[in-house]
Amino acid sequence: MSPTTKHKALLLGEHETMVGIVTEPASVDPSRPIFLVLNAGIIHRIGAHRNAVNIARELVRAGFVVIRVDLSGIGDSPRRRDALDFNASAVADVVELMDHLGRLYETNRFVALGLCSGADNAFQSAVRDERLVGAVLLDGYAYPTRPFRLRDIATRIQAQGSVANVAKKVAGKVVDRAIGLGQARLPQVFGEPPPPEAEGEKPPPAVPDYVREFPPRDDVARQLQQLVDRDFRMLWLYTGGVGRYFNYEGQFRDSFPDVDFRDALDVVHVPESNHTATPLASQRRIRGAIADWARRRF
Amino acid sequence: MNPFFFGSSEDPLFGAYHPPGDQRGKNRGVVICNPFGDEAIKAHRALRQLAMTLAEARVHALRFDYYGTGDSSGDGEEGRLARWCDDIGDAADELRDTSGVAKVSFAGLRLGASLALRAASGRRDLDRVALWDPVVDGRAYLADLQRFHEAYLEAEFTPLGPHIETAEFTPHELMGFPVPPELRAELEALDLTTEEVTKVRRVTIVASTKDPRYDALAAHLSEQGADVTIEHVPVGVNWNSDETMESSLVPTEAIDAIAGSLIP
Repeated sequence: MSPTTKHKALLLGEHETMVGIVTEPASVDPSRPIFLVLNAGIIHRIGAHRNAVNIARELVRAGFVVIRVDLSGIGDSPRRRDALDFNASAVADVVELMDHLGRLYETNRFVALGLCSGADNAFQSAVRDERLVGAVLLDGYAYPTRPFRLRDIATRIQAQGSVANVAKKVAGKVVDRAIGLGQARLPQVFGEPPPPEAEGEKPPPAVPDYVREFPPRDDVARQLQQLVDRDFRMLWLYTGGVGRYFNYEGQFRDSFPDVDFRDALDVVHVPESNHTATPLASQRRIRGAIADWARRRF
Repeated sequence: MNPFFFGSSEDPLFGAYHPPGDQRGKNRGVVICNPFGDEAIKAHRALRQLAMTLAEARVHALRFDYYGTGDSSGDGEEGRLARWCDDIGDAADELRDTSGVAKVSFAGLRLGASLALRAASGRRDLDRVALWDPVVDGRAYLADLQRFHEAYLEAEFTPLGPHIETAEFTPHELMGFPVPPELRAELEALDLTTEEVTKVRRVTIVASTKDPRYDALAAHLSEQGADVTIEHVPVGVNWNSDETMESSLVPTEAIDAIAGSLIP
């Protein structure tokens, strides 16, 4: 990290309750948007394996101001007073952050970056607020396509050793769904945390409840088109950790044949990485891809 | 809670100061020392709760990140135990300056406990030390981390998951964090039962498990003149488990035991 890089700790939002860490290059270019790095699940603002910090510093080296923030109820930030649910709370927080940072930096251009629930929050915030001019969505939404299903079946047959074993597993999942277990299992499937309270302990500071569900494809298609139409830039990056719902680089574009992406879309697939990018080599590849995209697009 | 950066302008450290809930704060301050790597992420919530508990009891509490960790400046590749011990000393000085307290206590978890004990040794302004599941034997700690690293990767890199055949690993990483050779060597040399400790008078070991190494550490510190208490807390937490990673546990009984040991 350059010795001229500046670090600041701020309390942000309408009530100045959200903890944010600002990292700035030696010289700030006001024409470039500010990056907002959102929490992944309930992990505090440094991210799994400190990835959020390292991504932020890579972006600073590329000349961007970056703010990593604990949204309300996560990390060091207290819960919101208005008791919104997890998703609505996150979107309201992002709007407040942009209000605050917009005054501080005299800008109205931001890019949201997030992994998993952070990606979902980044997307929904972008739909809500036009000050977001771009987003980096790590293991965000995706929808099955025919090539996805074929690859998925082929991988399962390879892994399970026989078509009969795969058929048995598929049948089991259908039964789970019929008795209502499918949704309850979603957080575990996608590596999200169960509720934090352990039995017999006095409750710790509250974290908003969260179950990850993808919105209907048609809704997302409509929202994507709205974003493209306002010149929004987006990088959807998928790891091999979400192979259960994304397994080839062209899947995102194939999922939305009805969206005219023009020049707004970039997709990167990092199949050798797990969801939280545990290998250091995967961490380097992912943050390199993000910084390259930021340089090209802004 | 007041977040801020302190230390040199080139290499600032991140601190989170929890002022006493009551303006008539006690003349006591506690520096809270993080564990290393993934354990620090898993323990963030618990240590925040410890700071809040202390602040409610009118104690000045400071959490902070060592150089090259958390929100502090520096790269993970630059992590060294010697530097982190100095950081604890700097954090203690910062807490005294910020709060005006004359004496400070240290509370550390896992490797943070080991570092807290080292940093406490020889300090004239030291009050008490609380060691929560301390890493007594660095070699055993590394072996535990290695075992968990391998088990974690085996669980993550399945035939249906990421492509293990193209994933790259080096010998200098554990659970997504760099462990450079210099740091590994320092950890291999860590044995709290042989270290000379001076001016450390009151020590509480808060132990989630019955471990003979804690008894050995208590005996060693007693021999060097410390008044040592071991408190066994029945709510055990395995800081090297997937459960702690995903649930961000807050073992309240252990937190209360630590806070109680630091506030007579």
